Amino acid sequence: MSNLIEARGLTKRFGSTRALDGISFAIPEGKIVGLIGPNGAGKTTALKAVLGLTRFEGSLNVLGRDPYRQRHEIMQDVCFIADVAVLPRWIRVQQVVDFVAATHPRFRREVCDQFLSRTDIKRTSRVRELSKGMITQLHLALVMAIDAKLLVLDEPTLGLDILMRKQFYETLLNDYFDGQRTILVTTHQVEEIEHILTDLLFINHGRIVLDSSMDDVALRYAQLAVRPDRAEEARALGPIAVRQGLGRTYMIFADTPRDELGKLGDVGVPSVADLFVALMQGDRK
Amino acid sequence: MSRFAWLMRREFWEHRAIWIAPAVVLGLLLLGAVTGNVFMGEIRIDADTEIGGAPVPAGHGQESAGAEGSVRVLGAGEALELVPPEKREGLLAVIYAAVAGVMFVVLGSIGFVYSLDALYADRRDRSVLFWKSLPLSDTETVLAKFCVAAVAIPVLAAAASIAGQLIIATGGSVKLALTGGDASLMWLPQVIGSGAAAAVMMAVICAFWYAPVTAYLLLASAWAPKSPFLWAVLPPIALSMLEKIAFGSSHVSAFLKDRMGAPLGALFADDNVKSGALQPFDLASGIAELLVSPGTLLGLVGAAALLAAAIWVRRYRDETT
Repeated sequence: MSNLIEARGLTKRFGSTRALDGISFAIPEGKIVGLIGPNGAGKTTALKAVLGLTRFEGSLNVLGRDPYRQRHEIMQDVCFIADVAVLPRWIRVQQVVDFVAATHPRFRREVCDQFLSRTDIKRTSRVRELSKGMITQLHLALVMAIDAKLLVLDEPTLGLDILMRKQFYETLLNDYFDGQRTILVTTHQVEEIEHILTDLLFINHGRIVLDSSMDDVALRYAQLAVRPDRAEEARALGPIAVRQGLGRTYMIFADTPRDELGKLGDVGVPSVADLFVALMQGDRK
Repeated sequence: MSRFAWLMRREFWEHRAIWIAPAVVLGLLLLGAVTGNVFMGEIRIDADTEIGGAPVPAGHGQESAGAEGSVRVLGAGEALELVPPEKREGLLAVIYAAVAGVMFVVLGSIGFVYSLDALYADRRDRSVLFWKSLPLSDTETVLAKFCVAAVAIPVLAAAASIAGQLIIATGGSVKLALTGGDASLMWLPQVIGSGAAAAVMMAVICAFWYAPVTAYLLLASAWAPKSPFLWAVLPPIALSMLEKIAFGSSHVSAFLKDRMGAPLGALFADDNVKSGALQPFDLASGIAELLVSPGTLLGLVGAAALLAAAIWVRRYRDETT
């Protein structure tokens, strides 16, 4: 399988701080990758580099091209939603559909129309008259109608209520993702996208903290709900994180044999959010 | 419709003033024509003012005592009748040219505001990221905006000017006919023709002579972190002041004055400006003369450089930091 994105030694400096500190990663075709990190970790900078919106050092290859020098070429195959606010507020729904249809060679109007017909969005409305949720639906309709190879979503559901967020990702997964397209998504609401992700990329202080498929995460990391009387033994195995919850102690282990852990309590797979917290704490030390 | 045409069309969606303003001006002219006041209003003259080189004969107009002595109020049609026949055409041509002048001042202001806003508005509301998510090059985007400002707006202004002149001609001839005058005066081909030619000439001047100004405003619009107006206006002012202080010379301000002043020389011969008559001029040779003048050609070179800079800034500016 070919790599859609390949980054080597990707670095971005703002003055003396490094937003990206020489990161390397590869994203193959057909994946849904969650790019996850705390505020200021470099997520948006990384996405902007991928989209050719910012200068960088190191090498970056998107669809076989240099996104900074050949941005306009890669945008034939790449779509992105930066966040809900970016649709121009003065434009009418019909106008924006017509415009994208006229300027994007891969836009399929019937797909967009079909999706819009399932919403309450009126064609004659201006974007500024729509609710936040409707703007996101409109943007999603536009983007989903584009037969792109790579879809980049930067906090696409920011400011939406939980129902809207759920609907957004469901639509994305059911109506858009076909196993060949690739989606790169950043969000703070990790728990809402974890079931749709195939791969995880944790980033902190401009460096990659975890680069793994969800399957490997399940193999490598384990969460143990420790039986109270075995806490000391469990601690001796060197958990990467410990947290208290509802009268029980939970520990997250990396590369620790499951049968060993099984004796000390109930073993499960940590949620992405818990794993994220665990690795970020570890990274801080 | 081509992609480029769509890019230009999009500008008219966003900047509706471009077509609303001339529509409003035409609407006002039409309103004036319907109410009968558009063919010049009343003219107040001192009792001893001459029209067309002769004193106003007694019995014309109404005498009324004003603060500064006796004043006569003449109806416009009446005044026109008093003008010697050989000068009427010139006077009417000036009126038609003035309609074009008003239209170009209105649309010129809109073009100025538009150019400053064109590459700034979408950065302000962050929709620039949406436009940049489409497979459109920044060169196309900037050139489309330049074409709106330098081509579409002048063409629209010329068309609206001619429409306005026709409204005046219609209203004027009706009024003349009602007051027993010669209605055909308004429709003399050379008069109507010179009004239209003046409008076309102004459009050509806007497109070519002012091309570097348009490109400069677009560059300011692409560049300005905030307030493109100040970014556009302050540097030239500061530069001419610095020159004055440092060298005591004023080449910069002379240059600016030269560029900002419209080369309307083809329209008005010097001695005719005073008497208010339009010089009959040949549109084709007027345009040709303008286009081959060094000022225009150098300006176009400057416009190309400024546009290239605007495209570069639009392309490589980091939008969201």
